[in-house]
Amino acid sequence: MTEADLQYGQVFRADSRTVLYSPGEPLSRQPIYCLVAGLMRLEIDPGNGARIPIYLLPDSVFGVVETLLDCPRLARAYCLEHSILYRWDREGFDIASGVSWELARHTITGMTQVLRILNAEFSDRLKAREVRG
Amino acid sequence: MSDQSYAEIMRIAFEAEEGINAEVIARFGRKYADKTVLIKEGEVQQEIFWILSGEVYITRKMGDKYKVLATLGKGELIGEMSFFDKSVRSATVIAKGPVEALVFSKENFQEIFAASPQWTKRLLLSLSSRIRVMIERLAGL
Repeated sequence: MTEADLQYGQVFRADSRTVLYSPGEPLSRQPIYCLVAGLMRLEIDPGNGARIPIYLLPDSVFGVVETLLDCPRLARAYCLEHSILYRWDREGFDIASGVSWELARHTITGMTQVLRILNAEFSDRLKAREVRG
Repeated sequence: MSDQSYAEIMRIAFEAEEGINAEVIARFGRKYADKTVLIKEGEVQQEIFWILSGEVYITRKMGDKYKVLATLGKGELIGEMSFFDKSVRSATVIAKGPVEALVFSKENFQEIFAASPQWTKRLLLSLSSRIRVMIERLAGL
């Protein structure tokens, strides 16, 4: 994505090991992020102690689910490297994703990937439970 | 048809279902007879379906039989998981009676986005809800 795709957002840098948000936290003023450079890990916490890791590469957009549903954070977002990110408030993201097909496409693709990982995890756990009887 | 008139048609079509007119249906509409397979489990196919009328069965093969997981109807989007993020179709979708749908490929979806970003927002909201539901289901295991 280019800078034009990321308009209405604010660029910032985060050191390695920075935690952007954790499960249960309320939304910040700019709750939606796009990783421009670096590496991050999203850990989804279903609340039973088993975290599901999702590694995020540049052009990943995250923090959208809780923002659109207006709920506390469902995951932990953690920088694995010194990273450069953009962040938006909801209104800014609505405008940016409304004018940039690339931003919209990366957002949707990221969400379908997360959903696929969760579906696979659910299926695995269900099978494991059946085997255990 | 000029770009402007096309954009206008798409804006009307996607902001209100009743706004879908003959021109939009002529370009993107397809009709399916009863029991037609729209999507086949195991295949890679990057098309998305928006049901205008009728219903479809979402099925999955279990052993020798197909199990119906859900029945979806008018206004529902089908196939978005494989459409944006190339993956193998995880279910077979079969027409339950006659079905009419708008069918979009990756190429013309960009045009639709340009005409009506509202449609994308609807999709984002739908995916968000499904992610939260799946997290809740995982919590119950």
